[in-house]
Amino acid sequence: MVEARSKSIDSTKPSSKLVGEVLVVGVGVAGIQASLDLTRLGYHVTAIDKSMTIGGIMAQLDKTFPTNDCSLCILAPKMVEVYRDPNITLYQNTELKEIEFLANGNLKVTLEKKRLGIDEEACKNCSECYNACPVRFQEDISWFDAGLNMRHAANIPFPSAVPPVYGIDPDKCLHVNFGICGKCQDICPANCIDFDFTSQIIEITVGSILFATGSTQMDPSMFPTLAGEHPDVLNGIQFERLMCASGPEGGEIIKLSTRQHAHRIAFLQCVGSRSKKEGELEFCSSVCCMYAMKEAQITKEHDPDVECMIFNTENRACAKGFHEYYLRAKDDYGVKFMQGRVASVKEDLGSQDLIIAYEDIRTGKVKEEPVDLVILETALVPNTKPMADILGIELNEHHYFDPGTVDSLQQKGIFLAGYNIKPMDIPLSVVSGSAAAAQIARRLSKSRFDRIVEKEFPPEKNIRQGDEPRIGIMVCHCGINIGRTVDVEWIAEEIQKEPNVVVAIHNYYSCSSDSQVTLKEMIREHDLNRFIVASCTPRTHEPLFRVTLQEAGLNPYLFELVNIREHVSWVHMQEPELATQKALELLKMNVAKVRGLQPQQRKKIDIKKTVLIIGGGPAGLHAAWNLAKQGFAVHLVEKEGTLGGAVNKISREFVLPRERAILEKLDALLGEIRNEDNISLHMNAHVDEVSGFVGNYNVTIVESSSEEAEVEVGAIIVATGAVQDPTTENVAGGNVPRVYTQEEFEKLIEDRTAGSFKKVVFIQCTNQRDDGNMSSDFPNCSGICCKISLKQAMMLHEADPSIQITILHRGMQLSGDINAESLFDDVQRFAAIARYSPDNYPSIEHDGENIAISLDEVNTGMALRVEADAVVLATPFRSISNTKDLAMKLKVPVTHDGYFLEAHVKLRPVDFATEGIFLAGSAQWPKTLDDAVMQGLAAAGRAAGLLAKGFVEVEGITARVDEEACIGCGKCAEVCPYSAIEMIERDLTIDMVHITVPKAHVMDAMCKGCGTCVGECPTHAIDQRHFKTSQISDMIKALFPVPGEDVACRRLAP
Amino acid sequence: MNETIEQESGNFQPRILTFACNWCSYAGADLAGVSRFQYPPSIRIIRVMCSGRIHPEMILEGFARGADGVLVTGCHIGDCHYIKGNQYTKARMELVPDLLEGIGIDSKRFKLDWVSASEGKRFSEVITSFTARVKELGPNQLKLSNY
Ligand code: FES
Repeated sequence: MVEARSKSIDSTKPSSKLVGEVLVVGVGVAGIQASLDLTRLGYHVTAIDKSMTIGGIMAQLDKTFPTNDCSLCILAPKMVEVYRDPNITLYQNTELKEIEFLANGNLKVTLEKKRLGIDEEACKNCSECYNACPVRFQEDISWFDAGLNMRHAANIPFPSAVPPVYGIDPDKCLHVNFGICGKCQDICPANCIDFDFTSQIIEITVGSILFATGSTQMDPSMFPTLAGEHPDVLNGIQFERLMCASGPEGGEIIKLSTRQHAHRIAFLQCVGSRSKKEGELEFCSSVCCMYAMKEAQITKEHDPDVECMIFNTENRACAKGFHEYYLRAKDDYGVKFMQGRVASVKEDLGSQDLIIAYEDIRTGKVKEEPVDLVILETALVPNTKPMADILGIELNEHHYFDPGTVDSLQQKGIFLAGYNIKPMDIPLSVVSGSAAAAQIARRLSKSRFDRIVEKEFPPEKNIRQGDEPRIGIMVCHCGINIGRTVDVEWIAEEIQKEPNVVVAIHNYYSCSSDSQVTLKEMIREHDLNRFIVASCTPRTHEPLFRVTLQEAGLNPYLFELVNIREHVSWVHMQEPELATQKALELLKMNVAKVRGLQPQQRKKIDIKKTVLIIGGGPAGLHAAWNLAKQGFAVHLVEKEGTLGGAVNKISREFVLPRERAILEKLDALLGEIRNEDNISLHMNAHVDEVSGFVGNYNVTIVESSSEEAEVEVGAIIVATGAVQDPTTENVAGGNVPRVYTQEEFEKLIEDRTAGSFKKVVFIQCTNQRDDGNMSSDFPNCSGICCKISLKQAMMLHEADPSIQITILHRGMQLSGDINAESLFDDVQRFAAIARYSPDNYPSIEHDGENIAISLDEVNTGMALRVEADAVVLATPFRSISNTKDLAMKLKVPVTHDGYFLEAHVKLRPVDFATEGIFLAGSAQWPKTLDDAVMQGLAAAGRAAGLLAKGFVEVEGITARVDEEACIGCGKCAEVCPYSAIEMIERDLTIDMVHITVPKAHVMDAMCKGCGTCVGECPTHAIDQRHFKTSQISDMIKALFPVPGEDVACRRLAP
Repeated sequence: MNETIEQESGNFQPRILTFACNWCSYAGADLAGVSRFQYPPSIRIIRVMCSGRIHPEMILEGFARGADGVLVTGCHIGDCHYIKGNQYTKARMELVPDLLEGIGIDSKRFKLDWVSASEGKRFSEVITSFTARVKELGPNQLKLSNY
């Protein structure tokens, strides 16, 4: 099946040009994003994964923080998209064996694809082989259920795996080893079992390679002192599988030893990470604090009486909204946070309970407690070794490439994404995938579209007047997201009784690839001409199902998605009966609506291949440079007289080695950008007005408060950055001299004024990370200030080792940086570090001359008093002051703490919901330099992907006029926000008298489908396609039925 | 099922016809779900692209068919995805209370409110408070069976 989609063995002739073909190694969430972006950008992708399915770790997760979205539900549509993309050739069970660097810059790669005894092209994913296979054995931890499930020799990782193809384990198969059995072969209806386990060698030539091979979580059995071998001691991924409704225990959180429900669960953080021990990792894995809190929350959702304790030295929750997530876990869910690490886990031989021993920080005594389950949030180890071996390059002590190596690899066409760059969560992995795609597109810009083929659909079934609506329905359990609250099976039964509903089924995950096959089969088998899926929000999932309809030969508009998750099961968790009733009523309303659905056509609209970038900081600059080099015209608007933004605030006097490379690149960019023909700079400028739509925005830029420039652009990137809060007064109780923000202090270091101080105290988390006991309006953690303080402490010390430095913190936030822990170690050698409690911010006293800071030190329980001649406060970083104003002009949302809000916090981190507008850098949330640059590149890649073809397709939901009913009043034309309605003259003959009358006329290409004209028309002469007045009326009628009323539709409306 | 629940609990469960625009209020409702902000199961949303699509007659039809309340939601003024569709919504909806009183429906059963895509909490609050108000007013007695 898979090979049929590929051009199999390569036929490229050597040429002098780089080829428009990219190899993506590892198809987890980063690889998926990069692959999809690359095909949009005009490149063919060969994507390989060493396992049987794509999806990586994200497919194994139960939920994702901070939204507690079901992980597979949001990932599955993307997996399906990869599988369906005619420009992606997908090879599973495949590894990269060799890279040959060709003289013309291309890379010749050798791939080895293992065959698993099944003819993949013929496999229909029917599961007969699995059911017939008599071999059963415990899977190993690397398998999909992380070792918690039994497997058969004939198997698939999970039912909605992509590609949906089974495979046989040759080590376990009776036929392979003993020549007996062969039951699967006998039963397979598709005759696809051939017991062929040979390898296929594939050679192709590509212009670039992207490595996105992710990470592997350490096996808990590596930790004998924590009873890692015990069946009730699991690592994070194993626990995700245990919690998951589609996991091995159906989502029952049980002790695997006794199969009884777990009542007390301990989550142990930083196991195998932040450690100097042999074989362990020195850096923070960066995601475990957040997902442990998620696991605890979800456990509490399963059963509020389960006691969840999280053990860590500090809680790292420092991205957008993360600290509030922590507060929710603590206050709303009642998750217990125990400061300190667990020393040992033992099994009580009598009761067989697990006993954890830990130091109670408040009393200093070692405590022992029995628990049912222990979750070791073990380190995530980057899967970089195979890549390093193939390239013949050494990894550093952290298992990563040094920055210099990464640079030189990029010159040769080799890029990295996801955990191969550094530890990161899902959104940053997505960003890194888009960023890599942008960089590759820049390298291969001359071969754009060389190898791209257009997706072809079967001819559309003709929907004629007089055809009876035949509706098919799929009601989704969504694991247990819907099924736990709403009686899905009953609803499917009930809705099948409605007139015109031909078939209604219920299933686990409607968005998975196998469900798409089911859906298409339903359409074919029952000759359906309308379809409804009742699952989640159409705002994310409608596009997926529409394509499925197209593949089944139905117009994509003959579909409706009914939201019974976000709008029902998740908001009525305590009222299952009423929720079920509501879900059924919503379905009935939509059955009424789809009876009247008609095929619609999408329009292609020409677009401007120009991008407006607002903000000339690190993100904006990299976005501009990348786009210009890809061949797009760029307007860069900067509010200051100089480019650079936050880069200008960073002292070059003392630069940390890890920042040096990024700064050098940025400084070079600042020099070159003026000479780049594709970039028009607008300095001292701001965006005054924005109108238009995706592909065609008209923007007025005001320069130096007088001159105006009108530009037409296809896309807009917002990269306006963040600034540190200057208000320090309320903290120090009045205006204390020599109290600075970090940004101010950086300037003093640059000016060498800071060197005159002899005692410097840094106070972290000032006016932020509010646990509900400060008056701050900034509840979250800015996420970058701890790293800044460490850097500044280092700089001070290097300048003058006699300066006494003190850092007062409440749990250092050092995730997302492999060097941060060792930097902290280095700083601790010369600086005094003390920790204060969140509810007891240090008090700053002064007599005009001297400053003294008092605090209660948490770890020692002692009251401390520190003298200072300068105090540096880590105040919050805020989105720039006119964010709200700009958001209003762009029609994009802002969060309650004043930052721009992206389309989806997990999977669309640089997009806005409004098509054609993108978000980059600290405008999304405060960022370190490397992350800001990555986001800038990602936004450039997303914008370029949108504009590359030169046109966009817009929805076919435009207005249309019934001229007979139109009285020519012109009200519709008056209210149309896009001037898409013109009044035309029509000749009319009444009783032999010729007159002309005015009629409204919609100019399709300009109509955006808002329907405002329809709401205004006094005679119902104007209507909106796909949202017809009659359909809305039918929905109301279905909601409030009148007994005996005939609702069935025997034939379609014209 | 509706009837049985009403009788068993002796508890009036109002049903509120709700219109939401795709870009703000529907998204706000999505966010309420994602954030698990609980609210009463009273509303039945009809999604339209913009609140400007909503014709006053749809509201009358809802009441005539038996809706206990009708709620119209859209983007905050100035935030409309289609520039100014919601300004017309506002102007049109100002006429609705008088129309309702004219046919004997308490205009308190009708509400127009704005909820942005980032206001999940607010969405749940709007629904909770409006449901309480409609509950207090009791069932809509005007069910024109042959509307
Ligand atoms: S799009 Fe929300 S009111 Fe117009």
